[in-house]
Amino acid sequence: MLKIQDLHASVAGKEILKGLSLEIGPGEIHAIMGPNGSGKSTLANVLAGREGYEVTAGSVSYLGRNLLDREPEERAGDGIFLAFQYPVEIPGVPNLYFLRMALNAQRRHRGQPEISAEDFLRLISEKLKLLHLDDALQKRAVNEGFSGGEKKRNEIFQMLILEPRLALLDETDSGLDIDALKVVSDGVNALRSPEFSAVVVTHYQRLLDHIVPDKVHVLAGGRIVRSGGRELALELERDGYSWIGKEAGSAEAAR
Amino acid sequence: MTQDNGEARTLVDWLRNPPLHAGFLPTEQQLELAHLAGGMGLPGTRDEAWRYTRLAGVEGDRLLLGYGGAVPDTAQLQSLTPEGVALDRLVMVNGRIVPELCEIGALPDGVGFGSLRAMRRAAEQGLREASLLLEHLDLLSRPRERVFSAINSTLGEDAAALWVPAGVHLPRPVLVISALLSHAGPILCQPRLLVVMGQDSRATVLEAQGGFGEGAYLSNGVSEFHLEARARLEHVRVQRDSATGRRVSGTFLQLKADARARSHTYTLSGRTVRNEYRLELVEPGAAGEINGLSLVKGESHVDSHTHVSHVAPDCRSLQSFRTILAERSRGIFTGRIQVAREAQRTDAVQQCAAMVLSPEARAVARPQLEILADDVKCTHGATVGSLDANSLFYLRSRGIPGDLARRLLIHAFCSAQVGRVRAGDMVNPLDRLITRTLAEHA
Repeated sequence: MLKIQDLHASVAGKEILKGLSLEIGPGEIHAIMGPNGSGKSTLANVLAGREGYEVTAGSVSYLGRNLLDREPEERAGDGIFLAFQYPVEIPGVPNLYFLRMALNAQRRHRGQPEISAEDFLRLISEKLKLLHLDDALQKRAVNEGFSGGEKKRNEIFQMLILEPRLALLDETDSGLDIDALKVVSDGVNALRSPEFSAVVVTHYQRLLDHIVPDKVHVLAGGRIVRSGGRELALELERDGYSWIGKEAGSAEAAR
Repeated sequence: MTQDNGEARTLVDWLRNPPLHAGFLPTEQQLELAHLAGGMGLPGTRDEAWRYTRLAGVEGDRLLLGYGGAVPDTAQLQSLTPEGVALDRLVMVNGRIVPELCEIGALPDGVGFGSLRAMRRAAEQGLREASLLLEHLDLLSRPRERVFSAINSTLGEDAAALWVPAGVHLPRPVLVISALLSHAGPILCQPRLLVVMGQDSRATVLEAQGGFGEGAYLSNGVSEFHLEARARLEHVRVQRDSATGRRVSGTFLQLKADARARSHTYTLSGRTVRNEYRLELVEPGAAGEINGLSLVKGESHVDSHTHVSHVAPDCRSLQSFRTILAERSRGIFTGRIQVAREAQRTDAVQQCAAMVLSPEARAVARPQLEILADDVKCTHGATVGSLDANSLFYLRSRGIPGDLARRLLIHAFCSAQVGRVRAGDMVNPLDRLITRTLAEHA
């Protein structure tokens, strides 16, 4: 479903990703962990197509075609969803209006008819219920005046409405209390199916108690330095990342 | 009075030798103001208040004065009439009221809405209200200091007038359309509106101003609003000038005790538009708002110039201006707040925000505060920014195409201004107007 090969990417002329390779199959959930500044968020943003993230080498193919020459809205239409680390407040744009516009834009992109107002409202109330969310927030402008936790929940709510095939969760768990964490993991687990894949970028193993990953990768110095099963997250929790310097160094030497 | 346009002359020539038509002013006053205006001359960029705005070529342009006999077509009229709003409509074309285009239904007892010249005739025949109304003419527009007011009074042929007696609430908005047709050649036009509202009266007044035709024109409008104690006014004005059209407008509001006025101007096109506002809060408890939204592109130059004068204590004022500038357009805002020594406990707010969409567009904001009272709450803020890249990416990352996302963000920026309009039936038409304008800009 997603195949990243030897990806190099720079931000403002500084190389952040230095030869990252990763393959994610349909239905798989991969966790990406690693110290600050290792390139986790850069990876998520490169995949979503944010401006200012320049790919200098390597390739990314998604559903069998080159992802990197696609506009952000085309990627979204093709099923990629980025849950932002810092969701943006957009005053003057009501949440539901925005969400309906997004859903219909994606449907048009896929050659599907627009959703009717009635079906849309039914979908909204169903997903609100699933996440135990208050519908008052949806009547306000996008993220405007939302608390940090509310913004993150709103990301997950949007994800459920848009039903992506590949979700990129960029530290969605940071700064969340246990209730909000539960909403996030319920949202992801609700989408779990053989057609849904996710990349979960996180600092903490605790999210992975709720969203059980198929694979865990450690990103350091712009590359994946270790991959393993779920137990790797537990090991990282126990031992931290102090061993990385040595391993990354030896990986560099081996090249 | 000439039915055809007659000869084209420069503005200076028109002032030197004004047409002695039966205008809305008596001839001797007309001649006196013409003389005064000729002596004052037109402001140049050396005048501080006109530093950023040049009415290029106005002195040298030969302009036609008068009606010329043409009428706007249905589509043009429609573009100046808010959709789906029940209202009474007065239509002026090149400065003259065209009765067959007006649609004025039954109005409450004592309300006068129509031609100022007709009001003068009524006054001459002894109608007391008409005399009272006429006494207000030129009281606020300062024709002896402001050359464009003098020109308007001198060369103006007719004007729209609204008289709302004490205690009367107008059941629906009144609309004054002022259309300029420059097909016959460059036109000089003096739109004029005089509104007098008695104590405890209420009214919503709409003005729609637009220019059609290839010819250049200069429209020099004056709108005066007198609000007696506790009167409430909502004033919404839409300006849609042609790409070669130039407009100067003066809006003058005077509020007595506990009166409330909100004035909103939407400027959507035009070559050079200069909007001046003067809000006078002359008795305690008055509260006035001046709001402006400019949404322009191309070579448009929009200059908004406010002067809010707090004369009495315990008054409130708000100025909120938003400007969206695409392509090579210019947006200038000069906002003056003046608080007299007696105007204690004044609460005055001024906000100005510009969204600059292209590297060639330019925004200027100049707040000017002059505060002589000591117990005063006075705040002002000005921001100039571009479309927020984070917001844009956020929308696109959800699947909304770039051009749609841009339009959505600009619309959201405008919505804050539309939200200030309290005349409920105007909100949707204004919102649609913005949608349409953005679609035309795309």
